Amino acid sequence: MPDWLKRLRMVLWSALFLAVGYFLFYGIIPFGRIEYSNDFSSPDYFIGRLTPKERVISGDGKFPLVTGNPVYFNLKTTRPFSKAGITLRYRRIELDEDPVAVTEDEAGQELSCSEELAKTYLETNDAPIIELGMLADKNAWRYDLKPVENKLLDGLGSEWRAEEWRGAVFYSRKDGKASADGLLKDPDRYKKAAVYNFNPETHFTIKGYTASHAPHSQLFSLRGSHEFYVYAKNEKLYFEFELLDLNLDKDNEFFEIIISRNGEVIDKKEFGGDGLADDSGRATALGKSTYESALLEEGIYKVGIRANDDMVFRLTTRQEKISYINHMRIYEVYGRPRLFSDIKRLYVKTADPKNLQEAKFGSEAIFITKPFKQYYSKISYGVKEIVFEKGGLILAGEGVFSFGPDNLINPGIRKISQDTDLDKEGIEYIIADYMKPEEDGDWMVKRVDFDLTKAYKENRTYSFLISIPGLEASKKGDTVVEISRISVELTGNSLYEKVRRLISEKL
Amino acid sequence: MKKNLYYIAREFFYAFSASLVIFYALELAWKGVVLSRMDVGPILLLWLSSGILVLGLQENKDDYEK
Repeated sequence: MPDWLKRLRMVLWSALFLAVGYFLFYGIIPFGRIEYSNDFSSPDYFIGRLTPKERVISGDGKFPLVTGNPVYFNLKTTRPFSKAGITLRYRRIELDEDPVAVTEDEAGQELSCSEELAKTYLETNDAPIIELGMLADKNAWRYDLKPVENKLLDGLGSEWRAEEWRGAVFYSRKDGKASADGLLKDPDRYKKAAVYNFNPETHFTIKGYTASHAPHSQLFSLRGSHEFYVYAKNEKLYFEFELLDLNLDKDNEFFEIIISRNGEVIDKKEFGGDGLADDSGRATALGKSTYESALLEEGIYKVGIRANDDMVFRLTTRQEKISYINHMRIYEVYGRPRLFSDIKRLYVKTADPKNLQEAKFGSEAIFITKPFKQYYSKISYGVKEIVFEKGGLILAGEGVFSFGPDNLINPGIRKISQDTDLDKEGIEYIIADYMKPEEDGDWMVKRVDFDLTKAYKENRTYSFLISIPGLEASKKGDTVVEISRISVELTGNSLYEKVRRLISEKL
Repeated sequence: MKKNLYYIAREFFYAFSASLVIFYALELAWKGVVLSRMDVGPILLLWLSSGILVLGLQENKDDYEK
């Protein structure tokens, strides 16, 4: 074999050896830190494209334009990490041409309301809030949302003063007299307060409350995960769940109840499904399951029902004050039920054509004429009645739902949402854990950190969401959000730390 | 000239064959470790081209070995 051939062979095999080393290095990431970036100019393995395509205009070498809410992207990693710092570079622009029409089916997930209302809404709403979320619980479809931009807070005028308070910012109108501590201790002032990305420990009590010991059944059954507030005063929480397994999904069913107070879990109990991985669609009645707590001191408790979509429950309880938080997925109704809610804007949709109906939100009628389409009401204040004809509805909004006006309790301080009007709502105090994004020319840049140990992952893939409530660009001139780059900094254990831990575990 | 070309093509063919086998094994053992960093399409194409070249030049293989 001639020398030059030997040298060629050596070069080729060395190149292969180096390539394997390169792949292993970037697979193992021995120093425990790596950064990925996607400017959407070409497909990227680590940071996926923005989906669904119906809410994103992309192509022609342009940055993607987000036209609807929400959009999702996946993050793939080659090894586990504990933290992710996601940096979003974006700007709001006006759509310079009408978007390509989507088909009826594709439009299914989009918001809809009457044309006149849409016009008013879109003229007054340019998507003031942008948030990034990490999928934390797939079954409950729960994203851990963190702020990117809140134009309502950024635009607070000179009549507001800001001071740092326990790692957050306490804003108060200049004539406001309360301190943050004083505000949280005084439930009477909660009506004048709002929070953003901050869960304060509140001290909510109901004067003159007496416990009712008579069990009462709800006039509807609910499907999947829910959360509700319940009030107790030296009494036990009593919940009886009449369970039904719809057997639509092959995954094993689960049904869990989690009781917490001021963010601290105080009890939980798990009830099983039928234990069969069945997707025949034949529903199985699972009978009644009961939960009874220990004697609880006076206060508000939050009850989380964690269940997959196959599980339907009808609740019977002895608790008098009970209010569902932000969302209800009504499966079946018994009689003609009414709900009461303090939400400002009701979002409602159905997935089943046989459940198309007319619903009423206060004095406003909402005609649900197409499945999968999300309808919404006008903004109105105070407690309103919601009347609907049949089940199969998903109701959502920022606030609570209850069976009667007297049962309604909302112990929390209202959250700032895209519908918030500080003046109209008489808000004098705001507590926010929020930092304004940085400006980079026309672009805004914001980094948001997530704890990946609390994330849901499948095959080392994490799911993220960009939430821009109210964004609905359907014609030239509408506001869209252009995203020029998503970069992710991942940190975790280094190889040295991993080896040291393995050795210490063995010894 | 043909002889040298044959030897070069053969060396590349061996190297690309080994690369593909190793990359496939790596991917099988650790999904994404190779594909996250490289598109193996061009390697497959080069492997195929070098293989065709080797086969094409193979006729006079005995003369090259002399």
